[in-house]
Amino acid sequence: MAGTRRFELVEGSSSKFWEVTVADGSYTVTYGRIGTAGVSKTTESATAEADAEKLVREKLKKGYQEAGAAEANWRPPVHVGTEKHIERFLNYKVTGFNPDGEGEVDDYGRRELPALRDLDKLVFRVGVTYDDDPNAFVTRLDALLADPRVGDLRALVIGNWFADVCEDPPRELVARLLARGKELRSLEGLFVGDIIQEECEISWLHQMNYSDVLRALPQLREFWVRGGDGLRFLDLEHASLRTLTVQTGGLSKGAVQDIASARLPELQTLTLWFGSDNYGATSDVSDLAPILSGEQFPKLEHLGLQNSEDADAIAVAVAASPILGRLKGLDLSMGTLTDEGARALLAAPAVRGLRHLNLRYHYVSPEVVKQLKGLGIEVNTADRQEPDVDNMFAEVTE
Amino acid sequence: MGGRLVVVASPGDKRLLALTRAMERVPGATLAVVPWGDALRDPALAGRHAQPGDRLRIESPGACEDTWHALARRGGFEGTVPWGQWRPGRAWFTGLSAALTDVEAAAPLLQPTHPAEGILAMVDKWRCDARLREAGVPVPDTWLAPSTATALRAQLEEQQRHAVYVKPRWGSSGAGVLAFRWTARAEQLTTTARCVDGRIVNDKRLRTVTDRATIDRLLDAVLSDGAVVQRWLPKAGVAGGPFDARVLVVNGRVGQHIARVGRGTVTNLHLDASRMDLASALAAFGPRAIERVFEVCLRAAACFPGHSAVGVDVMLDPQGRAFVLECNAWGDYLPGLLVGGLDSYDLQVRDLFAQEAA
Repeated sequence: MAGTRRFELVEGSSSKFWEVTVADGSYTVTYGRIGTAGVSKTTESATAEADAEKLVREKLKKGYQEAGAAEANWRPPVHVGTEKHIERFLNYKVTGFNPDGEGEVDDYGRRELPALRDLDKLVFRVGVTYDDDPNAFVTRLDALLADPRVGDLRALVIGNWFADVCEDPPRELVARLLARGKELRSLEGLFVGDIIQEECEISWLHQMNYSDVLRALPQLREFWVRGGDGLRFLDLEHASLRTLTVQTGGLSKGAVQDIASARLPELQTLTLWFGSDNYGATSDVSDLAPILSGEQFPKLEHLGLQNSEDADAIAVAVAASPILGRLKGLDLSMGTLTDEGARALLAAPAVRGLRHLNLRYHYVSPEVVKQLKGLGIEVNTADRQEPDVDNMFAEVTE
Repeated sequence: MGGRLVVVASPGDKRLLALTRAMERVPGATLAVVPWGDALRDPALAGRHAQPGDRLRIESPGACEDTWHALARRGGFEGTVPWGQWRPGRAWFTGLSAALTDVEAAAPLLQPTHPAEGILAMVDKWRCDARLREAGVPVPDTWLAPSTATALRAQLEEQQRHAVYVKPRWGSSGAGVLAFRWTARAEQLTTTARCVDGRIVNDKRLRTVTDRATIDRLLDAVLSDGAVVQRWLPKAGVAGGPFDARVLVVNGRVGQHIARVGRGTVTNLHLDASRMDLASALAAFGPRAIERVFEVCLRAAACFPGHSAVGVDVMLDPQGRAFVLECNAWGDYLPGLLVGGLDSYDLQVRDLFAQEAA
């Protein structure tokens, strides 16, 4: 674990703190009454990290809570699937932007606004439907970018940039973001590809390189992208990005290597959907080595290596990796995880230090699922799958 | 109170059992069953011993192998289709039309609950679509299919229509429905139908096929027997997947209603789909959405006057616009779904026989 962790126990008239800091070959414990400097004690140990973890678990059992709201209230990211459009992004309500929008709530509870407003509560979405003129996307995007309030927009969600079928990546979108990035002064979140399977298969979406766009939005905190065909992050570097979510039915080797070599010093949450090699998933576990070593993203708290038809190999690699001990959340959901991968996780002591382990949608046997539930941490083992003849599939590929 | 209902049905059929139980719950109402086989041999059977006020219910010929073949033979089909294999609909429909006409004509004293005219207009998807469209009920673009895969491809290419459903003109229960979409680089067909040893078989699981040869084989089989093509509008989704709804309109009022969440795009209940409370499925669309859906379904059912229970299949697109996909003449088998403690057969039987004196 990095840095000092602080825990507090307040009950009755008792108000105590307890802190632990791990260094190379030793750990230091400081404790006392909240509000005082307390008493410190340093212990030398070759297994300082594990010893400290053990003490932390004991404190948690006694009812201590980790101090700091972000720490205490940490939750894993909510799963976003491809069946419906997102209703909230960065904890704001998503509203459609359309210069021809009526501005009133329609009979279906939907509202498309013709101008940006209520930017402390709303974030905006630009997308076209199957009935729209194919040029409508660019028209609406331009209208949004020309809106006098665009400098206060906190997040932008991009839906269909094509009316009936996707034949091209969103080049006009990227060109405009590159040109007008400076005007989007408040933009903390960007999601390119809020598109459901009914509108377009995820593997039929055409994508492109996004590292230039990210560079043009230096204040961005959260970037989501859907669609793996053509997706790259060449020379990716961003000083403040905290969350990167990449949803594909086939994530290429190039894209994985781009991400694994990216300079993202503030990255806390990384979610990758690998998909199937039938649809362009060409990476292998070794491409993840820089991430798993723990060296690439020093602030990483949650790692999702999901939707993989290589889930066992990923689980085995993660179980043996240095990063595991530093994570709060690990997500290996949506893939073809079997008993092999599950057992590797069970055998790794550091797994018990996780706050949340997500294995939803898996091929693990009921007996081993039972063992996972006995880990003593929050585990999601729902959506157990049966192979179809001998075939196992990741959840979202086509 | 009380009265007589003559029903033409397949003995042992689950629908007949459910109807029988509902009849038992109404004192004084009597049920006389005429097996389909008998009605085909002697259409006047139903009308024999008829009294004024008696009712005639034509129940689905359903899953009875013998009845299917008898109707198909009547329509000019010579042959035997192994059960489970996909059954061609054209001859069967011709036979059904003749049989229904005969039974109604031979029983003029019996008032039908499912008039032949309405049944046939719903079973024939092309006629059904035309009727709904004429009445201004919102429906996806639908047209009569060409008879080969090659011709269909050319048509879709020319019109740049990239996502369509191909539905057997006279089929039901999602059997033989093909969801087809394509781009310049790839194509896919999603269906429960499968090619097994050169024959088309119906399965319960949805599968997606991406190789052109298999796609053509499946398309050719369905198209050659007569089909409609319907534009595939994207369906709104809930967490489990895209959904549509079955709304049963009983004598002009909304009865049972349920959302069907599919793991794939074909959402019939007995396939890879699960039920969900309709109001919950519509939650994202606001509190008035369900009223709008009901209103569209009532208008659809009104296109088949005199038909006591119309099963309307309706979808919403992601923007919340409702479209009627299909109307089902025998769409009332919805086990376990109660409205005010009554099942779909109770609602109908009550309307027929439980008119309490004021």
